[in-house]
Amino acid sequence: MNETTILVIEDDKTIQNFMKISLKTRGYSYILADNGLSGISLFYANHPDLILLDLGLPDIDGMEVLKQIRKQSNTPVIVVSARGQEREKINALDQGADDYVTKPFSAEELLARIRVGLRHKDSFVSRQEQEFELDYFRMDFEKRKVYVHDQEIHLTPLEYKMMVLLVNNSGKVLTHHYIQQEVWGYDTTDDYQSLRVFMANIRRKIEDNTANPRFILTEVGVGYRFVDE
Amino acid sequence: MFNHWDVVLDFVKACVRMTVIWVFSTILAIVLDSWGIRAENLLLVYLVGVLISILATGSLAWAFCAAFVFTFTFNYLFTEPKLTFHMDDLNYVISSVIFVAVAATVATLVLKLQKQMQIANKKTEITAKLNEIGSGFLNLSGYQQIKEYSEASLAGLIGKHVTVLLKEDEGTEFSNSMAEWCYRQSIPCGHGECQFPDDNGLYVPIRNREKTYGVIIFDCAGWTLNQEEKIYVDTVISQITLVIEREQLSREKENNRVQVERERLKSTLLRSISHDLRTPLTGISASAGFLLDNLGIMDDATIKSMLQDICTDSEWLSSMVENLLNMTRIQEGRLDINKKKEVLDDIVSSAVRLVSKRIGNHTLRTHTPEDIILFPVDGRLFIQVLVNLLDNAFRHSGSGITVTLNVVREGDGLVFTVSDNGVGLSQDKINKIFDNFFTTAYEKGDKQRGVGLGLTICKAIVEAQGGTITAYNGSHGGAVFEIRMPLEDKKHE
Repeated sequence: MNETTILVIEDDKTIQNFMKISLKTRGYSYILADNGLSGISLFYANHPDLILLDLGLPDIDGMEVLKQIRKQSNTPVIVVSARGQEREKINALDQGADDYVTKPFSAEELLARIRVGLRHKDSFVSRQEQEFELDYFRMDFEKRKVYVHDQEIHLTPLEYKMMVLLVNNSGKVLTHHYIQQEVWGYDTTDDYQSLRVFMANIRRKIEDNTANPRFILTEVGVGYRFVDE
Repeated sequence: MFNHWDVVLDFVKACVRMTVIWVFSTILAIVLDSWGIRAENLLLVYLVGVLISILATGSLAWAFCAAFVFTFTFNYLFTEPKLTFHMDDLNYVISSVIFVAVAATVATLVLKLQKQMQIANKKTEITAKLNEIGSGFLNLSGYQQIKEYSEASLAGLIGKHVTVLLKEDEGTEFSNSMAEWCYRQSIPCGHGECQFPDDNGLYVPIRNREKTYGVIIFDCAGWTLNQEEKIYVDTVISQITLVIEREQLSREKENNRVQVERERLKSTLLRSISHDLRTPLTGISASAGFLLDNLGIMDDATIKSMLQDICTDSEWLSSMVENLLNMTRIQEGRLDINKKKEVLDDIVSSAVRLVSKRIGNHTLRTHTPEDIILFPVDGRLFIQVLVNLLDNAFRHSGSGITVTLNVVREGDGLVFTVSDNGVGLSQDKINKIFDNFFTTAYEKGDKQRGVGLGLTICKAIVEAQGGTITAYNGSHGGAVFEIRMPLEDKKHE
């Protein structure tokens, strides 16, 4: 069997233990590293399928570990950050991390992120489905059409582009910076105000209740996430 | 130029006065002479003329001048042989000499008297000024006022431009290096002093025996302080010193008061925190320990309920720590407000998502405006406010209630209301509900937990962003919390 291996780079013993148990119960195999340098060498030695990386490590900066890994491969990296590391978190996402969890987090949350990470890895090459469907939301990529409750929704070309980006990365958090770059092609200095307004507009078109959205979640200060289940 | 013209003008005036006096004296003398009055008496008329001219001109030179002119006039007009400068009679010669001597003596005396009167007048004037300055110092508070008042009064006293520099903070340096030197050495320097005598400014320290408080700079270009002025200036400096000492004492007192208040607050905070942290921690550690010891012999339902308790308690702990972190940021006075234009929907939906786990058997309704509204706010902190308010409503209003989060636009502001149909607030609670550490738990004993931090933080956050928060009871019962936020960023004044 092709077993999924996850590399855990985390110095806190309790959290390491917690991650270990969570992974074991779901049948993932795991490798544990206590610091950044051993993390990097274990990465080279074992070629894991996914990496959980704590940003605050005793020897080197977690960002440095991320850079080293990204030089070599596209292995999904989920960053584990503490409260107060918002800037580092966004930075890590922009530097190629795939997702993040913030301490304190639940096993459920962690495993959900891991599932999304692994799925994106698998579908990295194969993803070109013609249709996406979730609950009462449906998107037809070939006809470039979006349906909510089986009613066709009119989206502007930019809005459609943004939806494609979100749906293709469903489950994953996308930073304001990344969305701005992908959709508009250039960065702005206005705190992504137009991006926020665009997103609010899309929400009004596809969500039943904008105050409690079903599909597009706001990650405050970071970006947006299209739910995947 | 002015000086020159003034001198010329004074001279012309004196000449005119002298001439008038001379003409009148001479006319009077001629009249008296025609009446056959003796010549000695005419000389007395001239003596009066000389005295008047001394008073009129106030100068010794003019007095002598007058004496001689009058003597020769007398000689020319009234002594035999008349209309010549010859004098036959020895009596007239002696009279004339005495006349000049008397005129000179009287003139000197009068002038001396005049001078002394002037000095006395000036002294009275300065004493009055000093008095006025002194009483003015009594009503000052704050360094800026002291500085301005000292500058104005010193300038009024000596009629020159004066700058007063006061050292409020030991750590800073005056931008003027001479002033800084003077402050550090605490001795006068600059114009006319031993140190830096070539400078145009005179730097005088404001100090008492132990401490220097600042420096006074006199602009001495083409001018210097005389001995007398120095005495006055010293008097004013000692008054400034007194005022500054008084100011510093009152500041120290205020600081001490604040310090005491802060300490009191800190200890209250620590007390309530340790109480509130201990309760859930006891629960967690007791349950976990019990589970560990009795794992084999317990049924699944018991295990599950204990684990459930552990989860609830630790979740509660983590939300409390979040609040505490915000609280310390606020109390240290450096609440890092990071205002950005945020979309209202984002804020509301994030808050709703965060509390959705804790809804329990309650219902949450939200109403937001149709339009997309951007408003300046620190997203993370404001979400915390909404979460705290919603959490409070769930926790303190009873069970099975409906909580409504309503947002409407009113004029140039946004109004957020969090209302419930629960038990509502009692009147005495409403007044102190935003106070530090107020919590319903303390009134009911230990049953309900919660440091009253949540609402204090809400208030601090909302107010730091230019909004207001109020609490009242709704018309159908139940508590209502209302936040008003501006739509436009008002710059700090």
